[in-house]
Amino acid sequence: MAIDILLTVICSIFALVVVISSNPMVSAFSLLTMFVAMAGIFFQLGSTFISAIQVLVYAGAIAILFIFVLMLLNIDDYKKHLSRNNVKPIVGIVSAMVLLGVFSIIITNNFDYLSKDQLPQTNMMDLFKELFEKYLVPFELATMLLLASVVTVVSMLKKSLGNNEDGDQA
Amino acid sequence: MIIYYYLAAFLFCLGLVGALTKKNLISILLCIELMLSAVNLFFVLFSKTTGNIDSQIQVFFIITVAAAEAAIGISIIVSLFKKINTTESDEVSIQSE
Amino acid sequence: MSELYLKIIPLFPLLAFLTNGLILKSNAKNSLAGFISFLGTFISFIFVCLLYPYVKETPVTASLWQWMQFSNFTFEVKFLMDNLSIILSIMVTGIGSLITLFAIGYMDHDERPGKFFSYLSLFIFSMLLLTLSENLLVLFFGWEGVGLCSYLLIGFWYTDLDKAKAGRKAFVANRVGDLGVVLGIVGYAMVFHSISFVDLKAVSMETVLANKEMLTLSSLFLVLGATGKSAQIPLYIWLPDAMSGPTPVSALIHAATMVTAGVFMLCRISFVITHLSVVLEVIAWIGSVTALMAAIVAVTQSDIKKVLAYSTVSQIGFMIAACGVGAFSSGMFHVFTHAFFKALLFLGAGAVIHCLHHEQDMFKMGGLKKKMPKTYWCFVVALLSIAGVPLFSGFFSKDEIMWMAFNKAGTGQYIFAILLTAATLTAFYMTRLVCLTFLSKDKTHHDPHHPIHDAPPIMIIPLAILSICSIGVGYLGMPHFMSHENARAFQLFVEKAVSGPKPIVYDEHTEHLLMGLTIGLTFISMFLAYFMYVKNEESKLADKFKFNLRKVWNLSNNKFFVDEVYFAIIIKPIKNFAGFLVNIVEKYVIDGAVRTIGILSFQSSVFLKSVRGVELQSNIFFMIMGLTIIVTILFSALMVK
Repeated sequence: MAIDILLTVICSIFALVVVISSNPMVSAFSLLTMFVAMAGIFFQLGSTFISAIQVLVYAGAIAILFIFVLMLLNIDDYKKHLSRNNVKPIVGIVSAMVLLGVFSIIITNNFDYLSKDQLPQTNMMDLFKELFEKYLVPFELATMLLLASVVTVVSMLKKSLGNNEDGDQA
Repeated sequence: MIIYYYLAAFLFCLGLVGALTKKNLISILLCIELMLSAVNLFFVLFSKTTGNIDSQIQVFFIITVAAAEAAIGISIIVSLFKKINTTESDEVSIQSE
Repeated sequence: MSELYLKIIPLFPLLAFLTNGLILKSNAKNSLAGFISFLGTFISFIFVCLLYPYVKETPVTASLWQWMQFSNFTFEVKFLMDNLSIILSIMVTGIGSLITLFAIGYMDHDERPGKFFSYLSLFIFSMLLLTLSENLLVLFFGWEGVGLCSYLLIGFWYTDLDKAKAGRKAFVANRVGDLGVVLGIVGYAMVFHSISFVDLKAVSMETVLANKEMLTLSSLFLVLGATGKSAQIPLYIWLPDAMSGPTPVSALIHAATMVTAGVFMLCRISFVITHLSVVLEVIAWIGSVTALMAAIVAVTQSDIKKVLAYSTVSQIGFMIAACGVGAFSSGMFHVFTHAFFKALLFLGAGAVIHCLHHEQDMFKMGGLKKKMPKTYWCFVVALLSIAGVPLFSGFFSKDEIMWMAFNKAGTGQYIFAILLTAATLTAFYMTRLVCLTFLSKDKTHHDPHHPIHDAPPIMIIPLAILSICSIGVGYLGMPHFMSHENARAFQLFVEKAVSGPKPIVYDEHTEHLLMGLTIGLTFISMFLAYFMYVKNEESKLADKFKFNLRKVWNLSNNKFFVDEVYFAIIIKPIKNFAGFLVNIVEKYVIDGAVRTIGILSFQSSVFLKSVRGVELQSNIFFMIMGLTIIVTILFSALMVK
C-alpha cells in the first residue's frame, strides 16, 4: 500500500512539473521520470509486459526523442518566454470540472477494490494469443500506421531540408 | 487500487491544462503524451477491475499510435523550425495568417 | 385454356405501348407506329372473342399474383371475365382497333406519332385492366391509368396553352372523383371485409341493410368517383374542354369507352346499391338532370366537337339515370349502343375537321354533302341512331331507359319527363349539327389547290364498319312487342352479372303510348331543326328564335355559367389561400425562420471570432469543451437508464 501511494505521489509531482515548467527541457525530463514511475505502477498492477514496453517505448524512445530534438534544435531563447505560459482561468475551471466529473464517475461506480493479492496476473501468453488471434487485423493495421508515419516523416523532412539547401545555394 | 483511478483522472486533466496553456509546441506535444499515458493507465485499471484482457490490448495500440504521433509531430515541428525559426504556437499562428 | 386467354389479353396493348414508347420513340413512321398499336389492340380483340364461348357458360377468373395480405384481407391481382366485362372488353378492343386505324389517317401530319400511339396503347391496356378487374383495387388501378392517359392525350398538343390547361382541368376534376373512389373502396372493405366483385355479388340484402349508413356513405363516394370519370354533375366540366385533344382520342376516350367507366363501376356494385334507395335516388337525379342540362347547352354551341361533347355528357346522363332507376342492364345496353354511334359521330366529325384543315366552327362549314358523300351518309346513320329514330340502335336502348324510369316508384314520372325533354333536345341539336355541317349553304373557304373531298380509305373504312354496327347492335335488345323470343336478349345476358331491374308497374299499353310520344317528339324536333337551319336559312328564322329567347339562349351558350360559378366559389378561394400561403406564410414564416437561423449562426460566428481570434489553442479549447459537454450528456443519459 505504501508503495502505491509513493508511486502516485511521484507521478503527480512530476506531471505537475511537466505542466508548470516553462523550460521544455525540464518538462521533457520530468515526463521521462513520470513514465518510469508509471511503469512501476503497471508492474504493481501485475501487467508486467505493459510495464516493460512503457519503459522501452515511452521512456526509452518517445521521451528520449523529445529530449534529443530539443537539444538538436538548440532553442536558447526560451528564457524570454519564461513566464509566458498562456494561463487562462477558464481553462482551469473547465479542466477542474472535467476532473470532478471523472472523479464523480469513479466514486459513483464504486469500482471493485481489489487488493494486490486478488489482482489477476496477466499471463503474457494470454495477451499475445488474444493479440494475434482476435486482434490480428488491427495489429496489422497498426504496423501499417507505423510504416505510414515513417514514410511521412522522411518525406516531410526531406522536402524541408531540400528547400533549405536550395536556399543556401542561392 | 482506487487511488490509481484518481491519479489517472488527475494526470489526464493536467495534460489537458498543459496542452491548452503551453506556448511551446514541443511542450504541447509532451502534454499530449501525458494525456495518452493517463488513458493507458485507465485501460489497465479497467482490465484489472473487469478481468477482461482486451483493454490491455488497447494499451498496446495506444502506445503504437503515441509513437507514430510523436514522430510525426516532432517532424512537423522540426520542419516548421527550419522555416520560421521558432517553436512558439503564437508566432506560428501569426505567421500563418 | 380460358384462364390463359384471360391473362394475356391486356398483354398486347402493353407490348405495343412499350414498343412504341421505348423503342420507336418519336422517330417512327406514322404508319408503322399506328400499325403496331392497331395490332396490339386487335390481337386482344381476337382473344376476347375467343373467350366468349367460355364466358357464356360460366365466368372465368384468373389470378395473377397475390399482392398483399392483412389479417382478414387478401388483395389479389386478379381478372374476372363475366357477362358484364366481356361486353365492355369487346367494345374497348373492337372500337379501339377501328379508332386506331382511323388515327393512322388522322395523325398523318403529326410529328410525334410514336408518342401518340404509345399513349393510345397504354390507354387500351389501362381500360382492359379496368374492365377485367376482379376487385375494386385493380379496378382503381385501371381507373387511374385511363385518367392518366386521358390527361396525356388531351394535352397531346401541349404547346397550345389552352390545350395544356384543358388537360390539367380534366386531371384535377378526375382527381376529386378519384378521392371519392378511394374513400368508397375503404368503406366497402370495412363493411364486407372483401372488395372482390364475386363477393359483392353474393352480398345479401340483410347484410346491406344492417350496415345501411356506412354503405350509403361509401356508395355516395363511389358515385362521386363515377361522376368524375363519367362527366356528370357536379364534375362534368372537364369533358367539353377535353375536346381539345386529337379527335380519335375524343372518340375513343371521351365518348366511347373511358367515360362509361363510371356506369361500369355502378354496375359492378349494383348488388349493393340496389338495396340503398337513397343512393339510387341520388344517382337517378344526377343522371337525368345532367342529361337535360347538357342537352340544353348543346343546342347553342357552334363548335362541332363541343356539341358532340355535351351530347356525350347528356347520353351518359341517360346511362347513369338508368342505373339510378335500378335498370343497370339497360344502362349497359345504352353504353354499348352509344359507344358505336358516338364513336361514329366523333370519327365523322374528325374526318370533316381533318379535311377542312382543323376548322371546327359549324357556321363556317356547310354544303359538305356533295363534297364528302361517304362521310355524310355515315353521319346520317349516327344521327338517326342517337336521335332515337325507330329501328336504329339508339332507339332501343334509350327507349328502354325511359320506360324503366317511368316505372320507378315515387319520382319515376319526373325523371321520365326530364329524360324525355333531353331526348327531344338531343334529336334537335343533332339534326342542327348535321344540317349546319352538311346541308346548309357552303360557307367554307375555297382553296383551288386543295379541293375538299372524302377522307382516305383508312379513315372511311372504320366509319363504314361503325355505321353498320350502329344499326345492327340495337337488335340485340329489342323490346317485347317486336320479338318474343329474342326480347331483351342483351339485357338478360348482362343481368347474369349485374342486378336485375325493378319490377314493371304499368302495362304494355302505357309503354306503347309513351313510345309513341317519344317518337313523335323526336320527329317533330328533327323536322323543326331541319326547317330552321336548311329550309329557312335565308329568312334567318334561327336568328329570330335566338332573339326572342335570348335569355335562355345566353344561359345555354354560356353553359349555365357553371365554369364561372366554380371559379368564384371553389377556385378563387383556393387561389387566394395559396396566394396567402405564398406571400405571407412562405415569405415571412418559413423563409423568415430559415433566414433567422442563417443570420444567427453568422452573427454568432462573427462574435466568437472577435472574442477568441484564431489562436490554435483556443480553438482546441472550445473543441474539448464541446466534447466534454457531449460526453457528459451521453453519460448522464446512460446513468439515468
